[in-house]
Amino acid sequence: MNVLAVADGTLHQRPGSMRLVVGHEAQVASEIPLVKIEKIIKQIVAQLPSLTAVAVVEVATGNCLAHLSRRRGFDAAALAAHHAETVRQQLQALATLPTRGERLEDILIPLRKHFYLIRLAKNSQWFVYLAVKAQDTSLALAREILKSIVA
Amino acid sequence: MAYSTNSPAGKVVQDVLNDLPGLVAVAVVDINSGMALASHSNSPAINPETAAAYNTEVVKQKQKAMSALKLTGENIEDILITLTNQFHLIKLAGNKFIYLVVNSRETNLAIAREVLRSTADHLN
Repeated sequence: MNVLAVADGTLHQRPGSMRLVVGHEAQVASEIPLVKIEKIIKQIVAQLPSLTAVAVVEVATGNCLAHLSRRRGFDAAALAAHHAETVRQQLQALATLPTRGERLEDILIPLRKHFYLIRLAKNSQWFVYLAVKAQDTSLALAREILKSIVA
Repeated sequence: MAYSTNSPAGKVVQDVLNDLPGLVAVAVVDINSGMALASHSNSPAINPETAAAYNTEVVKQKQKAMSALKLTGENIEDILITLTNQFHLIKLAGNKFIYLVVNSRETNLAIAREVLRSTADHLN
């Protein structure tokens, strides 16, 4: 798996391989080291090799810290910004309720042929966005795998 | 404890708990999603949600194996897994299954299987 800076477009690509793309403004705001991001993505790919896409995203800005896509044209980074908005809205909704000891942990979005899973970090600063095909894995299994890798 | 006695799945968990009070964990699981519809665990070591997700894979794989062998006219009724100190029983009922964990030393296996057999009838 090659780690590439977004700015560099000259590296040789093996066709059909999955590129891990890392945003160069990466870990500055979310206090998450690059090593950890890579480790998380590696673990997810190892357990769900047929995944469609996975991304590590900053909640506050919607910036994609890193993303990996099996399908060319699946723009995980663009979707990530929308999911960040979803997360922000949910966090706001929770904040209006006097719920103590509550924390948003994950958001599951079952589509017809895909599952989108959003797993928040403990500090709620970043999340992992995972897209998998429904026929490849069950919703519960994908959720358990994300749970075991992130918080 | 994660069940409501208002649902069929919750009632099944309640019934199994009443008949086997010493059980370690029990869950009613939907095969398609792998999610537990109702569950209860008496041990912090067994998280019923995690167990439900992974045991669904066990059931699906066995179903795939039977498909590959073209075993027509055969259906999985139950799966019994013998561990060092535990039995894990999976009782299928349509598109759901009951997952039961018991201690092997303290449980009469015949009674456990009979409890599952009779409560499974209430699921569909």
